[in-house]
Amino acid sequence: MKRRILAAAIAAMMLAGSLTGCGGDSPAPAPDAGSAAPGAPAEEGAQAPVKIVVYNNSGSIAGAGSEAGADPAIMEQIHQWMLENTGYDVQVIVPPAGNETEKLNLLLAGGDQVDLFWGDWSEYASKKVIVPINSYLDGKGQDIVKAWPEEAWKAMTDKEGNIYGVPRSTPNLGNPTWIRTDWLEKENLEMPKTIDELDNVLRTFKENGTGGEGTIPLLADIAGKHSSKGLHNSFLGAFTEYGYSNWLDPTDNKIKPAELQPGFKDFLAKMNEWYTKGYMYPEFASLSKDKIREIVKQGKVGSAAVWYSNITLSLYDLQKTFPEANYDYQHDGLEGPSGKAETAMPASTTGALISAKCEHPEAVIDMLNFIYSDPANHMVTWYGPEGMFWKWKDKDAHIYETIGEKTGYYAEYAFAIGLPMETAVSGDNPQQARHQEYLTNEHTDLKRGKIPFDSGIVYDPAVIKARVPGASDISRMLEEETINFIMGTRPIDEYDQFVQELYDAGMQDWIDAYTEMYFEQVK
Amino acid sequence: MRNQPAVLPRPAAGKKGGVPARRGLPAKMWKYKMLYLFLLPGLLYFLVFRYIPLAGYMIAFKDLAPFEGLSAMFTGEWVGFRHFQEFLNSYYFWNVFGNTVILAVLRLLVEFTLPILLALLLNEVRSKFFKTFVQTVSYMPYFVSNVVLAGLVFTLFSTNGGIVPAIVAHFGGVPSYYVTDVHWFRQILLGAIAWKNIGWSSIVYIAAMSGIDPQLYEAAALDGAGKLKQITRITLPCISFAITIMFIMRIGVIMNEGWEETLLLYSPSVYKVSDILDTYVYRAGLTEFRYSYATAVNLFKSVIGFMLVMITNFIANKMGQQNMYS
Repeated sequence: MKRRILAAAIAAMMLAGSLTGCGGDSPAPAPDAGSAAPGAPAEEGAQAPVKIVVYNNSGSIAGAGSEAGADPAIMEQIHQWMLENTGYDVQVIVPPAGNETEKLNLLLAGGDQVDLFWGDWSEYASKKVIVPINSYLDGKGQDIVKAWPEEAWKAMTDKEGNIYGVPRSTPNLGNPTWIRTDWLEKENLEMPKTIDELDNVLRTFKENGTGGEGTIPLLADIAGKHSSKGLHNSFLGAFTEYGYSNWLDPTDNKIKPAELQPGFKDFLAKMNEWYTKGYMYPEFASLSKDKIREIVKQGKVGSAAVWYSNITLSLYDLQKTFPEANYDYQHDGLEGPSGKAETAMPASTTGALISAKCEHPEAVIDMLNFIYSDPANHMVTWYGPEGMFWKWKDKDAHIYETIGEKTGYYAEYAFAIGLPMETAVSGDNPQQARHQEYLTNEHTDLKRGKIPFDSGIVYDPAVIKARVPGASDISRMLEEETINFIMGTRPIDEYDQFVQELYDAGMQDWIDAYTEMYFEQVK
Repeated sequence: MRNQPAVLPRPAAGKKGGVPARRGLPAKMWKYKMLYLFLLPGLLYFLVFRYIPLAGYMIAFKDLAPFEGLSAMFTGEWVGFRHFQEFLNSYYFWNVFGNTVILAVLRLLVEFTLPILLALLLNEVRSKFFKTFVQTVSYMPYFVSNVVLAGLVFTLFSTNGGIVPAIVAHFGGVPSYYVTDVHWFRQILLGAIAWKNIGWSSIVYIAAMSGIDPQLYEAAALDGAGKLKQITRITLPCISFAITIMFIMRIGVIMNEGWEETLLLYSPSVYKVSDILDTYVYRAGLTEFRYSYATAVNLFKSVIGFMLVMITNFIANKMGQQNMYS
C-alpha cells in the first residue's frame, strides 16, 4: 500500500512539474548591474527584463543556407548584445518559408506573444489587431521618424492621423528585366530597349540554346516578394497606359482594376506567345524565392522578370561557377507600345506593426530606435556580430568590409530593414556588391517606369468586406484566369467572357466601393 | 405436485465480508475497473479533441473577428445563417463543391479498391520472401510525410531536371509542367496518394485473408474452380465484413482526407480542378481572416460527411452487412 501511495505521489509530482514546465518561460537573466540600458531593471535582480517577441516576416532573412536556420551560438551572441545594449530580452520567431502569413495569423489568433511583426496595417487595423504608435514614436522613436521620408509615413497613416507602423518601403522600382550581358555579347546583341527587341533576344537565346542544354530564355514569377508580380510589374506598362495599377476609367469616372485596362488583353497575348514558344520558364505560376535563386545560380537563365534581389543576391554565387556571368537591365527603362514597361511599387501600407496585445509597445519602439540610431547597430543585426563576418574599414563614413563568407546568420535580428538603413552603410562586400549598388543608385530611380495611378490611396479592407461580398471570388478569378490565359489553357479569345465573369462575381460592387474610397481621399 | 421455484440464497443484505455491496452499473464498473481505466484515455481523447471543440461551431453563426479571443465566441453578435448563405451564393460554390465530391469519389475508388487488389495479389504469392519483400516496399511510402511527398512530386515533374519531362522529351513529346496543368493535376494527385497509402491500407485485408480456412480453396480446386473463381467465390465473400466496415469508415472521412496533399500540390493555375472545401476553408480562414465564414463552410462539409456515413450505414444494415453499431 505504501508503495502505491509513494508511486501515486511521484506521478502527481511529475504531472505538476510537466504542467508548470509547459509554456512557463523561464525568466531571462537580468542584464549586468549598472547597465544604463532603457529596459534594464532598476536594481539588480529586481525584475526580469522586458521580453519582446518579434515575428520576423520582414523579408530580411535570406542567404544560401538560410532555410536550414541560423547557428544558435550566433543567435545567442546577438541576443546577449541586444540585452546588454537595450536591456530588452528580444526573441525572434523565424517564419516558415512560404507560409509566413498563415503562421503569423495562427500565432495571433492563438494568443501567443507576438509583439512586432510585418504586415499590411490597413488589414490588421481594421480587425483591431494592432495599435497606433504615434505616442511611442514621439517618446522614444525619433531616429525611426527621421529615417523614413514623409511619403512613407503617409502610407502608414489613417485618415484620423493614426500611424499604424514603421514603414518598410518607399516608392521603388523592383522589377527591371534582368538580362545576361555575357549572353548578349556572345550573341552579338544589344541591350533591348523595346518589347520587340526583347522578343528578339528571347528568340535568339531559345533557338541558339545560348546557355547550353536547358536554357531558360525568361524566368518570371507571378507571385513575388513584397506582393510584386514579376510579369505584371515588369511588362504590363508596355501594353497599358497605367501599368500594373488600378486606374480611373474616363468613360464612367470609376476606379477599375488593372485587368480591365485597354491593352491588358494584348499583354496576355504576348505572355502567352512567350510561354507557348518556350521562352518562359513553365513553372512561373508556382515559383518561390528560393527556387528562383536556385535556378539563377545554375547559370541557365537568360533573362529574369522577378524581384530584383533574387538576381542581385544570387550573382555572387552564380559568378563562382560562371565567372563571366553578369546581369544588367535597360537603365532608361524597357518600352512598349504604351510606354514604359515597368511599374513602380508605391509607398507601401506594409510595415512593422505592434500587436494590440503587446504589453510594452514603448519598449518595442525603443528597441527599434536603438537599431535605427546608429548604422553600426544595424550592421550587427543585419550582418552579424562585428569582427565575425565584417569589420569597419572607415567607421566614421560607415564603410565596412567583409571577413570571409557569411554563413550561420541570415539577418534574423534585422528589424530596421528597408532602404534608409540598408543604404546608411556601404562597403567592400563582394557577396552583396550588386545588391548594394542597386539599392543605393537604382531602386528609387522612378523615371524608368510608371507610378501606379492610385499611389498613396489606402483602401479599407473593412469597407471592401462589407461592400464586396464576392471580393475573394474576384481575387481568385483574376489570379487563376490570368495564369490560364498565359499558359493557353484558356484561349485569349475568351477574354471578353472572362470580363463578364468578373462582373458576375461582383466586379461592379468592387468598382463602386473602390471608386468611393478613392474620391474620398483625393478630395 | 407443484414444482416449487428454486430459491437462490440471497447475499447478506448491506454487508459482504464487512465491505458495503455495490449494485448496478457502479458495481460493474468497480468490478471491471482495470478495463474502464484502459478506456479512459480514449474517452478523454474524444472528449477533449472531438466533443469540446464542437462548441467552436458557434462562431459559424456569429461574426467573429479572429483576434478577439475566446470570450468573443460567447459574447459576439448572432448573425444566423448569413455565412452559409454567402457561401452558397458565392461564384465558386459549385466549382468547390464539385471538386470536393469528384476528388472524394476518385480517392475512394483508388484508395479503396487498389489495396484490396494488392491484398488479393499478395494472397496468391507462394514465395514467402517475395511476399514479405513486396509488402515491406509497399508499406514504406506510408511513413513519408506529405511535405516530403509533395517535394518528391515537384522534383519528379520539374521541367528543370525532372525525370518525367525528360522521359516525355526522350520519346519525342513536348514536356510541360504537368503539376500546374489542369489536365494532369488530378492524375498526379491521385497517383501520389495511391503510392503513399496502398500498401498500408492493404494490411487489414491481408489479415482478413489469413483467417480463411485453406480447406475451402482445396475443396473449390477439387470442384474445378480456377484462381479467379476462388477469389470471387471464396476470398471476397470471406473478407466482405472487412470490406464493408472499411468502406463505411472511409465514407466517414471521405470529406476530410487528402486535403493536405491537395494543399501542398495545388496552385492557382489548377484551382479549377483542385480547389476543395478544405483548401477553400484554409484560404478563407488563415489567409483572409474570415474565421466565422470558414467555420460555416467547414460545418457545411461536416454535415454532408455525417449524412454520407448514416446513409452508407443504413444501406449496409439493409444488406445484412456489418454496420457501425453491431
